[in-house]
Amino acid sequence: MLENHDLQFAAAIVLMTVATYFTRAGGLFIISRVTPSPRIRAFLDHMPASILVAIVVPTLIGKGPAELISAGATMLTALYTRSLTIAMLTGLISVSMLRALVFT
Amino acid sequence: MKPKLQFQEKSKVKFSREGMFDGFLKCVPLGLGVFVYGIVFGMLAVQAGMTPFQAQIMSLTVFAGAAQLMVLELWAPQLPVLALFLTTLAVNMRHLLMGAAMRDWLVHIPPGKSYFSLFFMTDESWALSVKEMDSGKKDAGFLLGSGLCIYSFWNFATFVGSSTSFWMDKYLADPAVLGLDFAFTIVFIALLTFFWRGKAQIPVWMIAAATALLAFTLFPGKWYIIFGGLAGGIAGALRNA
Repeated sequence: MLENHDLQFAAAIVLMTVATYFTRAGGLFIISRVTPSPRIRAFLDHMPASILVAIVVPTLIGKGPAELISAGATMLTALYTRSLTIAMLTGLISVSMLRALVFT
Repeated sequence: MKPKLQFQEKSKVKFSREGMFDGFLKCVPLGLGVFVYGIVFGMLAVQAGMTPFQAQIMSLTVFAGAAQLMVLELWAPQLPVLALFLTTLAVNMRHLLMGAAMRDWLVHIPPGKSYFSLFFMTDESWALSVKEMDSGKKDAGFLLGSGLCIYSFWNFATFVGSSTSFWMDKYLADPAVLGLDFAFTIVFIALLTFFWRGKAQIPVWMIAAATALLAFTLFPGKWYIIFGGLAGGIAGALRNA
């Protein structure tokens, strides 16, 4: 394969950039070529929240009470204030406080 | 009738400078979370044998946090170029779904603007933008603005982490002290909450959660996001069809 480290690095960067951009652009490329039927419409409506569920749930596995209580507090704050900043601060403050003071 | 309908739909979505600024500013709290992981990446990259310059080049071009951290495991004096490519592809495959989910904004603006915006799309800026789209906003500039926000934070953090790792080690060795290791989860929990419409969603979300958990235990990398997203989307399509 490539001998020179700089060449290897350049090749790695180019390929990694191509791989990443392919995934970022590919979804629009495909979906812009179909006219959504009601079924595809419903799929697209439910997918974003499902992706978020999929991102969140495995990160809660094996977490302790401090994290789970903070997760609940974040949810309630987000629901009632509709503010991302306030919900984030609530979650961060509660997880650090609970870890430091209660579940040490 | 149909072309007219499409024209009306098209004329509603715009791509403005105001939308970009709005996206950039609203994304700053998420950028701060990304900043912490950017510093971690910069530090680990140098420890793995990259120069600060190389780490910066990677953050400027590849710009994919999870993939960049993942390939550090493979970093060696002789670079396994093909493995780096395939790992990056696999870790980022979830973006295919995320890009498709932005359809209602991106098919109605010039393709050049759409595909340029997508270069900067991350989990964080996507989640914020899709929430904005879901709430009925019609300015696609938001996606680019929020993406540029994350891009700025990620690259500045890469610089800080890779060039100052000798003293950063001491202070940021344990992000758990400030609860920052949990910040990622908190952000996405809050964004998910904004999608809550009522009990009718529970079955779809349960299916997404169960599928994601199963895939999480079965496959390496980030495949669980794709499986969960697809399962939830399909469940929703079957219920509503």
